[in-house]
Amino acid sequence: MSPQPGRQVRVPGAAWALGAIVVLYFVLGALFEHEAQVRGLLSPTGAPNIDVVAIGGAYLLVRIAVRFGVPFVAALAGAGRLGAVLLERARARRQ
Amino acid sequence: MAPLDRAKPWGVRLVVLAVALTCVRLITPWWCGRDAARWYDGDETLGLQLADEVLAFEASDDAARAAPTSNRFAGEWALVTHQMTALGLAQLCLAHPELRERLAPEITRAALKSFRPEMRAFGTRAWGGEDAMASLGSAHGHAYAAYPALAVGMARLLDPAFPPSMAKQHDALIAAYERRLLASPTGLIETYPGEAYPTDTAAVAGAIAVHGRATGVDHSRVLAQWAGLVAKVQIDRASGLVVQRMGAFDGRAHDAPRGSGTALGAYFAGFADRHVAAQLAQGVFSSEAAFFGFGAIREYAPGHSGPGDVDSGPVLLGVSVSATGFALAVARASGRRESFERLYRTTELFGAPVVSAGRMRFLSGGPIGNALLLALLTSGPELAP
Repeated sequence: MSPQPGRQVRVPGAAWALGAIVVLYFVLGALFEHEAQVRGLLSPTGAPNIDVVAIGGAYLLVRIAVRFGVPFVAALAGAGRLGAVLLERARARRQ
Repeated sequence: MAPLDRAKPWGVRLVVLAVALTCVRLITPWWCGRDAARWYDGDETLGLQLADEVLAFEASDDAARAAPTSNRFAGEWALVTHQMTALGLAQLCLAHPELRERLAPEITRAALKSFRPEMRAFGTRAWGGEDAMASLGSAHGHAYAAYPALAVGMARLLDPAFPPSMAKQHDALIAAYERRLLASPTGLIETYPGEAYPTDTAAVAGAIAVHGRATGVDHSRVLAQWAGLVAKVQIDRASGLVVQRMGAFDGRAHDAPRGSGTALGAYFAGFADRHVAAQLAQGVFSSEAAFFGFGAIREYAPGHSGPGDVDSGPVLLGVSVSATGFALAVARASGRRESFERLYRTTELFGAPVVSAGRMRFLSGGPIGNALLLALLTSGPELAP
């Protein structure tokens, strides 16, 4: 299934989306780590720093998406590719 | 690349989907639980990485305290932060005695900070200005002061240089608690006027027991009486959970049986009586919800419901953040390895631990989360003999 010489390989939309989420995961992670370290989720008197809490919430959502989504999409792509190859071989054998 | 290509028959598409879901079921719990076994097995490196983070916080807190500012870290959360720091460090020392020389002074420092009057100001306000240490002769319970008393007890157990003047204050508080608990027909003493929390009374029992171990004073009578009344009065028979809030004198329920109070109560009870801790642990783990290799503890017993509050933290889909975190300690101390691993995966996913410059911190928890998790993830060595 290698691409023909001179033909551009098309990267599917799902892969772009996945890549974007992974990049966002690292960016938000670094930002949250910095803000949590420098300012903290709570002020010394116990009042929450709302913006840091918001960054943390966004980071956790993306973290969950990455932890579940990346293995799912990678496995789906791998299994789909394998399924297609096996199906092709089975059809070729039948013909 | 089109994994679920329309050219594929439905059977193949379903198999591909099943394979992908199976991969997630295997990979995601593994990813989130990479350190679970090391924590369960008492890995010294991990413990020290988190200990170094809480010690760095204590040092910065000392520096802030020395500066002329009114914006100090104080109150209930600060009390728990310093208390759990002391307990976590003490548990590390008990598990790895070679750390004692280095950590014992830090345990004392954190424990004494939790014992400062400004840390318990919330309780003093609730009692109309009556401070726990200024009313030792009264019948008022002031059970919240058992949290620092437990930390101070662990410091006295491990630090031979513990200041004698503070030891005298601690002796007096423990004597007051012993007298109040012996006089209680419910095995409960008040935290606030008219209100008792079985979890806080478990901390009282833990503080009394650790005082006995540190000083050699015999507290067996009061501890045996408390242990008998926990089972008789405080545990809901249907769920095995303790009622979160009760009348101190009549033992009537003022709230539902709940997971957060039971799990923290089981941790504190472990300092005093293994049998009580085991009973409470049974209730906690009958409330465990497991999904996809992740575990969490339901906040409310079956037939009860309610919102999250300061004790439980957020309650999502019926499970609570606090109960799940506290149950880590119960799982480790009671030898429930599989439950510990499931709970740790959830903690890792939402707690977001990172290691940098040799220190570990849980990004979502802040200083109180780090201190709590140090105590909860190293629980076990503190159990009563």
